[in-house]
Amino acid sequence: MSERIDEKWLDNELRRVVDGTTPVFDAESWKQKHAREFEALLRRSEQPDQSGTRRTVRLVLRASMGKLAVAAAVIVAAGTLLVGRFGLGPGRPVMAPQSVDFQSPARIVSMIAFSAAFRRGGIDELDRQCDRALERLGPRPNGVSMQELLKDISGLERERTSI
Amino acid sequence: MNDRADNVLVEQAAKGDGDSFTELCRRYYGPMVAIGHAILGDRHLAEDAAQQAFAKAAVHLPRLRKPEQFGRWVAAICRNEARDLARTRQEPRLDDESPVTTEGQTDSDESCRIVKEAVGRLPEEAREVVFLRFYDGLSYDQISAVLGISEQAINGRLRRAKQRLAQYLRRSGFDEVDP
Repeated sequence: MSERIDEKWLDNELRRVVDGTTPVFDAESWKQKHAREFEALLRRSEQPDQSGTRRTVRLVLRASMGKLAVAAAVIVAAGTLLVGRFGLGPGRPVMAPQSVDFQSPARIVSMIAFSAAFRRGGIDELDRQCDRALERLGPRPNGVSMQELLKDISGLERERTSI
Repeated sequence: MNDRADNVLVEQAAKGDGDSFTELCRRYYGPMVAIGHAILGDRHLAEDAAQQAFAKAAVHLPRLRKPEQFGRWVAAICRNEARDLARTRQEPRLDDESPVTTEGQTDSDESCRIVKEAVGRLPEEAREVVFLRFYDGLSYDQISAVLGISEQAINGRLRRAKQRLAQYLRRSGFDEVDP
C-alpha cells in the first residue's frame, strides 16, 4: 500500500479506530448491577456527620503553623509527663527508702548520698542523713588529719603529693 | 458542563447523596470508557471496567482527600480495573497482531487496520491520551481533569504519540506521514 497522508487524515483514521461514539451512562442499570455499593453510599446519609471535625483536623494539620502547634503541644505534654514521673524535689512521690548501710565513710558523706536523702524526704531526711553520718563517723579525732579523711572521701588510692 | 463543581458533588456524595454521585458518574463516564478502551481494546469491556470503577469509588469515596481531584482518582481506579480485566479475560488487545487482510477488503479498511495496529503498539500512556482526545472529541479540560496534567502537557503527549504513529505507518508502506 502506498498513499500520501497528512495529519488530518491521521486524525480521521484515529477517530475511526477508537470507535468514539459518546458512551452514555445508564444510571438505573448501574444502580441495579452494583446495588450493594450504591446502598453503601446511601447509608452514609444516616450516619452522624463527622466531616466538619475531620475537615478542621485536616486543615490544622495541613497548615505549617498548625503542624508546629501540634508538635509543641506534644512536646509540652511529654515534658509534663516526664517531670511528673521523674521530677526533682521533695514534692515528688516518695520511693521506698533504701538502705543507709553505706559501705564506707566516703559514701555516707558524699554529695550523692545527701542528694538522695533530700529527694527521699526533703530537708528532714537530709538532716537525718547528717545525723547518721555523724553517728557513724563520730567527731573527727585530732589524730586523724584532714588529708586522711579526704583520702577516704575521694576514694582514690593514688599517692598524695601535697595536702 | 460543570453546573456544580466536582468538589461540591463529591462532598455531597460522600455524605450519602446518590444523585450527586450519579451526576459525577455521568460526567466521567466517557473519559473512563476511553481509558478502559485504551487498555482493553474492547468497547464493551471498557464500559464494564468504567462501571466497576464507579462501584469502587462509591464505596471508597470518603477516603478521597482532595475532592477536586475526583477525576484523577477514579481514572486510577479505572486503570486498575481494566488491567485486572485484561489479565483475567485474556481477550485480544489492540496490540495483538492478529488481523489478516481478507478478500474484498477495501483500502480504507486496510489503512484502518494498520492504524489500529499502530495505536496498539503505542505505550499505554500515549495510547490513553489518543483515546481520550479522539473519543467523541473530549475537551482538553476533561482530559486534564482525569490525567492531572496541563493542556500543554497533553498537547506534547499527543504530538509525540502521533510522531510514533507516523513512524510506524511509514514503515508499513505509507509514503509520507506528516503529523
